[in-house]
Amino acid sequence: MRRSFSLFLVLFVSLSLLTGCNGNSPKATISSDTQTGQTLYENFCLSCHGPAGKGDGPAASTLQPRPADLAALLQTHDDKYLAARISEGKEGTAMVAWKNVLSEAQIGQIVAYLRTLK
Amino acid sequence: MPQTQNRSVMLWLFIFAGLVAFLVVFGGYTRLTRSGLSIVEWNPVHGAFPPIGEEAWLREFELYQQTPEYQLVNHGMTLEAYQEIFYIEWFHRLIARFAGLFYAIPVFYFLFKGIIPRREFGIYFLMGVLFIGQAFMGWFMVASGLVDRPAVSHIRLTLHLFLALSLLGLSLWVGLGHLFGFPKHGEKARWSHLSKLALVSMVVLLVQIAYGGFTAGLKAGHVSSTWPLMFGQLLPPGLFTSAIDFIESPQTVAFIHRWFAFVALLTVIWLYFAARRQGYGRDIRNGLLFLIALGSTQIVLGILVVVFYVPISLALTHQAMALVLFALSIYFIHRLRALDYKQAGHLPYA
Repeated sequence: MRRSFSLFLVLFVSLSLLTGCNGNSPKATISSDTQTGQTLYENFCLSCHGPAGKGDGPAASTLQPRPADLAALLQTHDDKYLAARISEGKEGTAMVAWKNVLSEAQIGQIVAYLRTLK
Repeated sequence: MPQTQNRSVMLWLFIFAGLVAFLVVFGGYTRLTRSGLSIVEWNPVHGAFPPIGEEAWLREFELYQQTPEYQLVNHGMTLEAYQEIFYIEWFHRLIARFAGLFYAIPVFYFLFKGIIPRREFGIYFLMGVLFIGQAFMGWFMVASGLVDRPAVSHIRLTLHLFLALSLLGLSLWVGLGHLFGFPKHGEKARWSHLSKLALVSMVVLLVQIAYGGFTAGLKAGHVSSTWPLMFGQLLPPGLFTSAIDFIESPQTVAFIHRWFAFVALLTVIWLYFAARRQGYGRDIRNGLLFLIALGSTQIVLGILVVVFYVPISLALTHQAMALVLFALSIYFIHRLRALDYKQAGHLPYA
């Protein structure tokens, strides 16, 4: 009985590890990245760029020029550009540089989340 | 300092201080409507007239189209939209010209009539120098936004604001002297503990106003629309990575401006308890309570500016309230110094 239990345990752990090593793993990482990215987006970007990134956040109406429509920007620009824009900001607009406050990894997570926006 | 009291000079100085205050608030409106870079030339005399006729407007618009602001921010702006921002900046400069004349004409009249004795002209001359310096600083600030980047330097913006505050403070101080009396030449009075505290409190207020200038210049009011949390935290990481962050990083500047307000308020509360402990009269204590109430209102206004995403009306009220607080600090220190002189046996009527 004890031996069967040990065998079951070994099988269970091995199966769990195998499951953990299958193709789902990167997906899980991406999902956690986008989830963190979403939290960061909500804290740092949403008030200007809006929930769907269309540049229609609650602060947008008070800004001149209006915040960028990220949904449109995503069609024409790569991740590197988006990360650089978040990092360095855009002079003359309310889009300030975030490199001091957000790490490269966090900026990457925001970009990852932006890519999930429809 | 002058010695001769005069009611007309007092009225002139108070109205001039009011004009300077209006100029500062309208300057804030100019900034918030992004109109400050619309006139790309500085012509103190013939710039007093706006372009007349379509050709002149098109020429002016063409000049604006060469600026980084048009090319990077306002690309595609129509002539009508340009005229709107032009007139706001033009009016700001017009009030400045009017304030200049309102300073210069009476001061020379008072001087020639002997109402301001020649030996007392120094302080009024200094006001003129400050005014001319302010005009140059205004242009120096605008010029910083016409090359390479579509925004003025926040340091120059703050210096522009501080020159205006110097003018406002000086005209109020001298005006109060005309109202309450000046100490006679050679009369000295030790700075009392409360006067020193009041001075410290005003310096703290000025630091807070300077951070207000930085916040405005860096558009840092937009970095976070939540209070007291900023980016979901009370003390977000990465704000104090180097010394330059204190004046250059919008997030750091916004954070300091949010919380240093409470230091400014605490100094006034401290002042109130010191006045109570030292047995100062009801007028002083009530004056301090009024300052505490106004300081608290200013903090609430600041929070509202943040959570309502910097609407122009609230932002301007916040800026105007800063001027009121500064003016009241000047008044308060003036009254305390009068008490110091009274204590020393001078100014019996103070």
